[in-house]
Amino acid sequence: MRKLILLTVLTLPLAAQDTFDFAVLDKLGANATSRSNITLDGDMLKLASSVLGGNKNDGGDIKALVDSLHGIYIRSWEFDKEGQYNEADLGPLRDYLKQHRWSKIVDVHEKKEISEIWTLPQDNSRIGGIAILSAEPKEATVVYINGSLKAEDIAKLSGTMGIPDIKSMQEAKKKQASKDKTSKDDEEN
Amino acid sequence: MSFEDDLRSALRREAAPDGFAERVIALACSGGAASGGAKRPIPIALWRRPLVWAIAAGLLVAAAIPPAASEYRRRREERAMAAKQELLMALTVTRVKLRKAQDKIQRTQRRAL
Repeated sequence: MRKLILLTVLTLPLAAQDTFDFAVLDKLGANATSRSNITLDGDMLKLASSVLGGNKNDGGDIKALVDSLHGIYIRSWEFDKEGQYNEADLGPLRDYLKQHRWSKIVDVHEKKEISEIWTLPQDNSRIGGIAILSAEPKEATVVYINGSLKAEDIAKLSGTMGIPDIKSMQEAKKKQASKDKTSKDDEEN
Repeated sequence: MSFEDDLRSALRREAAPDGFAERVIALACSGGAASGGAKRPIPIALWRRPLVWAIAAGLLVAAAIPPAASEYRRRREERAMAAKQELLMALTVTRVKLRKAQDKIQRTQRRAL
């Protein structure tokens, strides 16, 4: 009995962390001049999906994709000047993604800009979600999409809504990794 | 003692007179007519009759349901349209950020080449 209670107490925090608490990121936007928060949980997505029309122009092409999602969370902050937020404040989200075995498929640091794309790998070439962390001098954005997605869904979105093909991104990352490995080997030789 | 005797005699069990059961059955079948005519029902004011109240309540509910349902539908549709706008906005932000990431990757790759 004591073991059972202990097990319950230990597993409760894990269950509670099933979805990332976006309130943790609030301090990032303390100096923001404008902020955008979009929270679409499962019920809201169902509601939105119910009015997505059957034709392409009315969102009909993304209906099936939206139906397979559990949540979409967007947090975006804009600042007047540079240096008004600490990029390290995105740390809790990164920690959460690492803890939940998301893998970073894109990590680009260019000048003062950072773009990270994380996906949650699943079986049968599906992904369990996609997260985008974008940090620019005067803007920070977090996109967190939770739900079972097929690579084709993303490809479909990229065709209809201009979202790039995640598959090609993964391939590019693999190529880059093998290229880095080759050059490292050459240097060693 | 006489009181007790009187009581005992009064409570003494007696057999029903002949034909009593038949008379009761006949009275019951005739709806009480045999006892000298039907009893007149006690008049109850209309507003005090439960059936009237039940019908009034039913009518009230029936009248209230369609507007309430229509209002519920209208509000739900409004919420759905707002959710759809948010969804499209969210997907647009996603698309923009993915594009930016892709552009950066392409620039990095070009530089590497």
